Amino acid sequence: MSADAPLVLGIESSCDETGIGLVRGTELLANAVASSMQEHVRFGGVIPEIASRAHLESLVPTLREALATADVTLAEVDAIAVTTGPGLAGALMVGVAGAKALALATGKPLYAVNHLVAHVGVGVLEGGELPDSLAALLVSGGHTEILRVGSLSSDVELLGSTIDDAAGEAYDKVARLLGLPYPGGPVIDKLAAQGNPKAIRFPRGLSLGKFMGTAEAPGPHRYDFSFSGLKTAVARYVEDCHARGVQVPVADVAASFQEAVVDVITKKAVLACQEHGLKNLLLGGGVAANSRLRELLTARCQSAGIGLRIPRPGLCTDNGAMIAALGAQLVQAGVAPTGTDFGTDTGMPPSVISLPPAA
Amino acid sequence: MRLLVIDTSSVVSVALIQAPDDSSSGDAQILSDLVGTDTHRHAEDLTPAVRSALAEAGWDAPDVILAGDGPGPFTGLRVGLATAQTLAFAWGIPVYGLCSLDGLAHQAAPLAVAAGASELLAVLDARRKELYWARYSSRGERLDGPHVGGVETLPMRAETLPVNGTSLPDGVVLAGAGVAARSEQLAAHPLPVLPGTESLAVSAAHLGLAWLEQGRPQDAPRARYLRESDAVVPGSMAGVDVKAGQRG
Repeated sequence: MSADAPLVLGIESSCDETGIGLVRGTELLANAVASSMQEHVRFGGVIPEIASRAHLESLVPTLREALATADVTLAEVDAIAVTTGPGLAGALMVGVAGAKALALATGKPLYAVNHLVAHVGVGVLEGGELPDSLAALLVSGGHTEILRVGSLSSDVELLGSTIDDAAGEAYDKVARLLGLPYPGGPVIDKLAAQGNPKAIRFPRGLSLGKFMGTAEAPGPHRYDFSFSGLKTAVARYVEDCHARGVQVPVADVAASFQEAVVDVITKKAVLACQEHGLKNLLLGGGVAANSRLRELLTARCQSAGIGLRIPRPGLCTDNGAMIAALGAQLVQAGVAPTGTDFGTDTGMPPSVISLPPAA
Repeated sequence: MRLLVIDTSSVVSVALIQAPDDSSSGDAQILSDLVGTDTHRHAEDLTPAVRSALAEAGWDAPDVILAGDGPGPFTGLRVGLATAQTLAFAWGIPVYGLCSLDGLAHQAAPLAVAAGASELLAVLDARRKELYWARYSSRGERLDGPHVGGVETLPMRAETLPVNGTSLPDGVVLAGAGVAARSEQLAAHPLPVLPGTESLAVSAAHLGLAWLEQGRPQDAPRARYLRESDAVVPGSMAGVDVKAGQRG
């Protein structure tokens, strides 16, 4: 094995994307992704059983595609990494089963890694090693978290997270309320550009003093998010329009909703950085593609003197390359592989970067 | 020919069979035969079970993999198929699929014959108070199925339920772990249970023997879910035109 640039194969199947990536150290060789997103459109959200069935169909073809793209053989791979959580149980199990089978057939070490930390780890594929003094803001259909990243291989701490819906989930639900298609993120982002973000003042979840407290005496949810109330507020507004017989100003609702989401996310992320003395922030997750989130986060980080890193969209959404990238970091740091005696962990906390070997 | 058989339609089951290189089914030797007891630990237990079986037999890799492709509860079934397909890809060997109930019938058929039965219904737990079932001859040939449904969907003897469309000969028995799992619903069922098979899970070894006796069919494994994914289109989506992004 090449200790400075190990060749790692990563497998991701925590939600609706079957991803297989190949990474050599911090160099991206292949990032094959098969998505079942189109199959979920008519339901307005990811249906776990449909996603799981699609994973089984896509697993080996995606694996074959990744190896061909990278032009490497399984025999050349130094280690395998797989998402073991958090995520949908049935979906995770397909990737975990495939990863264990690969480990058994090839005799290569296997790392069962944390999906959330991998969203941060993917940063090394663009611009190399991550800066010291780093926080990460992860925003997707399943997650909304602020992490402190002391070390990708040994020190990750959850600073805040959503206490109900993920931000991307709120986009999907609001899209449904407005009669817009799934996924809600891109379509609301586009419509919002034509609307007035100040037209309607929607609530900023968990922003009141009783939740925030102060830097010295933090409240119970200083860095946490809540989007459930916001979704309800949008629903009330739309119902009210119907009751009054006026047309829903869809673009204004989209813009005002988006502003409420993005405002609270960026404010709390910057606050967390400042209060923990963190000089850099990495943005990850599917919602990182949102234009207003990028714009406002860039502006607020700039005024706060925080360096912002945003991987390109194909690396922000769920993919196997991020799992491989984190796996390579673990190999390089000499972390012990997990082996094949483990199960999935749907609620895996980000402080657990990879599962330790079974005793 | 070194054959690895995996079945996860009920419990985790793994077998290694040394079979003749020609297509005959005689002299097949079972080197390893593991049938687990847990129906909720497929992802954890399967690969370690295959690993220890291979190590014990001293095989680096098999020549062929056979996977029981259900029917069975979805999540566990997928673990078996994902494992079998990925192992076959990594080893560069073929992988075939066979109905899991065929393995159950292969094991139960001789017992049914000894008990004087003419046919058997192989039944496995499908959860939601339902059964996966298929009908077999006393030689273990599948006559009907696989199906999924409540106990009331099982064929019954014509004389006990004349309105039922399926006419069965005398001496049909029920066999398989579905009996114990659905004992409450089966209590009023007229078909007798083949004694000793109430908790019988699918044995990979018997599935492998059934495959050899069937002439080694080369069907690609495909998950026999038998049920839709149960997803319901929400009412608020019904009027959405997904192309225009506006309510139609």
